[in-house]
Amino acid sequence: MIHFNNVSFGYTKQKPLYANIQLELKSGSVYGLLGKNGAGKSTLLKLMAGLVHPQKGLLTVCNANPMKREPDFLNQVFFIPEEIDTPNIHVLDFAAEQVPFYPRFNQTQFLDYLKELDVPMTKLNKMSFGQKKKVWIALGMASNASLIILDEPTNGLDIPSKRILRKLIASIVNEDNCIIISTHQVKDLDSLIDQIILVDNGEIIVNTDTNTIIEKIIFQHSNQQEISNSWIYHETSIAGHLFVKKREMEEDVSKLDLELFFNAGITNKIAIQELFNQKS
Amino acid sequence: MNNHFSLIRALLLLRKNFKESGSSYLLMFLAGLGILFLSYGLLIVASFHSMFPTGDRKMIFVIGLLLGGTLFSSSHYGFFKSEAKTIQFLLLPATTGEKLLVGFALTQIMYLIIYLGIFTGIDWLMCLTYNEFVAIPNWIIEQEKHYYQGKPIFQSDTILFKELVILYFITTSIAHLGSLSFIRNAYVKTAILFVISFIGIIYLNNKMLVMLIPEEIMPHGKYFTDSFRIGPLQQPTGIVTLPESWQLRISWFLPIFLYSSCWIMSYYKLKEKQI
Repeated sequence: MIHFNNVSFGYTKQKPLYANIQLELKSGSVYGLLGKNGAGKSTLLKLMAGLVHPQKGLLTVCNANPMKREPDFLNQVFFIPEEIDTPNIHVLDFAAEQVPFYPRFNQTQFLDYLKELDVPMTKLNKMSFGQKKKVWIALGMASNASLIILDEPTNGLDIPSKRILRKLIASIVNEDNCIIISTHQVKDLDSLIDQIILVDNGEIIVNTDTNTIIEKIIFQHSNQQEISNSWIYHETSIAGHLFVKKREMEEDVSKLDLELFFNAGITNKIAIQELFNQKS
Repeated sequence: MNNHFSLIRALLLLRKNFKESGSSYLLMFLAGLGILFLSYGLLIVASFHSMFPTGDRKMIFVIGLLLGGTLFSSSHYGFFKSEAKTIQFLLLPATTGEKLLVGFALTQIMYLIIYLGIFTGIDWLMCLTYNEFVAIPNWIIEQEKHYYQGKPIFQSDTILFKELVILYFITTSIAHLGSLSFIRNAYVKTAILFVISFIGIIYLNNKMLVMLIPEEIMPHGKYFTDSFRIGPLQQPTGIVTLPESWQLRISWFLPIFLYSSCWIMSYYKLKEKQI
């Protein structure tokens, strides 16, 4: 669905952010885009949506060039930004003005999502930030776009809404669409994500599925004081060490700890890249 | 849906714009109406014991048309200050031409029609008020009493209506382009750039003439390139004028060139807009 072929990008020519990146994202998956602040997550999402243009290389999204921002491409993409700004009109009027532009928009779905997310039927200026965000989420989900991009979707959402968001995303993902979620709150969405893209300093460290991660590495806890050389990464607490290491054939598969995996990827980039054959 | 220009989609965009920004437009309309009414009203009230003011109301008309028009045009893409709104606008499934047409319709057609409508209405009302309340001094002779008669501005043969409308189209197109080019303080930045460019062109034109002719040169004429004086300022030795066919061409070519350049640049600015 999305192909980055030697794509380079920088906000200035002197300071490139991404250099010759190769990346492929397939439909039927929920991608989790992880990275530190300023790592280039939002930029990667903007590249996919055609909001920023590559300086070099070829980028195709849904068989189209996102740079052109043609209507046939745009009605397949729905981008939910981190910050939300809405006009001061009624939520239903707001949706009614969007509907004609998205041929697959489903009004019944939209109303159901609003109800499920507990959004009041009122003017948008009377809503809180979280409620406005939920309107956008409902709109995006009901647009039935092939590519739904969510930038920090759980920011501003209350705890029940996060659960409903997970449920909604799980209900709409199918073989024909792709959902990309950029987040710092990995624990909010770790049960949902089945593909991980880890970026750091404009570099794609890992692009793999969660099954491959748990096949290749294990996440364990140790009460021992000593630190093993085989550990790729560890975190020390009063209770001992939480560590990540390469999984041996005979070892059992452990439960995926996305936060630990993220920290391992950022701290011991080379080891993780070697393990996932992603060295760029 | 297709990737070619669709008038239906452009109309949908226009409807969306009215629905979402309707309250802002209404506020602007009321503010404009209030300012116009107040300034015109004060002018008329102050003139009840004197002749009907003609020059001052023309000034109000020109200020409202040009200043109001350019301010309105330069605020059209004011939402670019908000990244979320910019994303929503750029990713809305419509072509660049359709999105630009909304800006064109609002800044080049809607404002002009509404402004002319408001001004004509106020002008008519004020003329009526003046004619009702004017106190003509006793010593005014019969032949001069017509100066104490208020007539609507568009019945005046001294107002350069065609030229003003052309100027309106050009200045608002520049302001619209400025709104696309500058996210913050678009009006001020565009005005500064415009003044610098204008002075720069006049200066360079004069320099070029000096290089061509080994005498003192003074630009002269309706358009600064159509004629120039040679010799000292106090005692010019002659005036060089472009052939008449050139003058005619310049008088239509320059406005059309400026106007179309602004809209072509606006199209590509919008098409290649990144955030």
